[in-house]
Amino acid sequence: MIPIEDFQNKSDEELVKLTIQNPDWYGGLVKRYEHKLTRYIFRISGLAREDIEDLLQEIFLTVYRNLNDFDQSLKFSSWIYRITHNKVISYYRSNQARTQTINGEEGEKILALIKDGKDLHEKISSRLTGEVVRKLLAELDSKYKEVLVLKYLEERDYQEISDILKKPIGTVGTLLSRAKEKLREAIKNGNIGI
Amino acid sequence: MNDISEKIIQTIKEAGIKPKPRWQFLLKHWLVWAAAAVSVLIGSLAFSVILFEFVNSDWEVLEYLPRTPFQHFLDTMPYLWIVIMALFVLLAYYNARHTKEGYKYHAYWVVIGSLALSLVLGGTVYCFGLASQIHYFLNRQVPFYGVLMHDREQLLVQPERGLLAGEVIKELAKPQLFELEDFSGQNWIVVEANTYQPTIFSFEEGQLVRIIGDLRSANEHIFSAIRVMPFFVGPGEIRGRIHVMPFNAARPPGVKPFRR
Repeated sequence: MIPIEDFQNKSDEELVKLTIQNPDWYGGLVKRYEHKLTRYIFRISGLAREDIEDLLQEIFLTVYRNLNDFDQSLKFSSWIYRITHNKVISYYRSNQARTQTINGEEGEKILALIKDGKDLHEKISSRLTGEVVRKLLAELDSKYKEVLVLKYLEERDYQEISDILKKPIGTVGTLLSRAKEKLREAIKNGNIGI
Repeated sequence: MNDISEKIIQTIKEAGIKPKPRWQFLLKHWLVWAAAAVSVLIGSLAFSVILFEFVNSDWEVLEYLPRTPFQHFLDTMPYLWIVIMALFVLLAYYNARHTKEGYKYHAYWVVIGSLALSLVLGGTVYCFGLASQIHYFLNRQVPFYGVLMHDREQLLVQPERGLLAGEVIKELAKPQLFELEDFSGQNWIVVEANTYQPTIFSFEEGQLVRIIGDLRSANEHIFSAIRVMPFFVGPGEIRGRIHVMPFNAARPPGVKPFRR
């Protein structure tokens, strides 16, 4: 194995080139992304830890097999997130399951970040808990949930979200705007005790 | 999960997994682009034939036919080519969307782009006179092509309504014009009517013409011509002269066989 210090001062793109020559370098990329991707998969799917681990292994093997397809015009992180996103969708299609929701704590984080609507800001009460947001997010279409997760939890910019979801930047903006609007409407409807 | 990287590396080594070679991805990438390009090309050819069909939709003879302009429009629409063009524009869109960069553009821009490209290329193909050659070629080579297209020959061979069309088989001395074999195989002597409108179009043997005039004698098969026009018009059909392709010296290839 290659010592961890050797990985640390290399960029993702450099590690890709080195991995193509020698698979031992791949450990650096796996270590760099295993926690990020585990969290991302959990956020968009709510899968059990064991399932996530299996899925993650499959994702890293797919990434390895396709390293020569990595487009240098993209960020490596966008590319690996795109593959992860596609694998999660395939997993749900093959298992005919519905994506689960975001947990309460993360719901609070999303809520704090989208409290930028002026009229909404006044109406949102401190009683709106993470549990309530969790329920609201459970009702959201997965396309809105994914874009909210990428923007507010994974903290990706529009270009990166566009590259991950393979949608035009304008569509990403529209999706985000609609996702926030839908959350606001749900809050305004009063079903959550404001 | 601390040992996941070790597990992955171990699996890769034990199973002998290797990154797929770059050429495979490049090949796939270029095949998708090639498919998009071919789709645009076929869409363009379809548009050029649509233009050719519209130009040759015989609006000049509408007043001799018992139909409204709308009925004539519906009857002469090249439906087959419109469907082909629509299919290939959509196929071009589908392929363009599946290129690596395709997702960056809105769906409607990709559709508009492939449509615009087909229109520009198709217009160019038409201007170079290739549309008529495509039409002739398919008419000759593809069974049922003629059946799917609107039947001009039948439409224009109605002497009792003042319409006649066919091939000039012999030039005659004035006041006769020429002998003509119509698309049903009947021979006619075509003569000048009192109101004959001379044109710069020259009647040579082997040419296909449309004639507006009057039936002078049904028994003797004499038709008086007021106006003689080329059967096909447009680029490649200079003043009605049919450009005979090398593999058929007598009749334009693909023109429907006479119904004898």
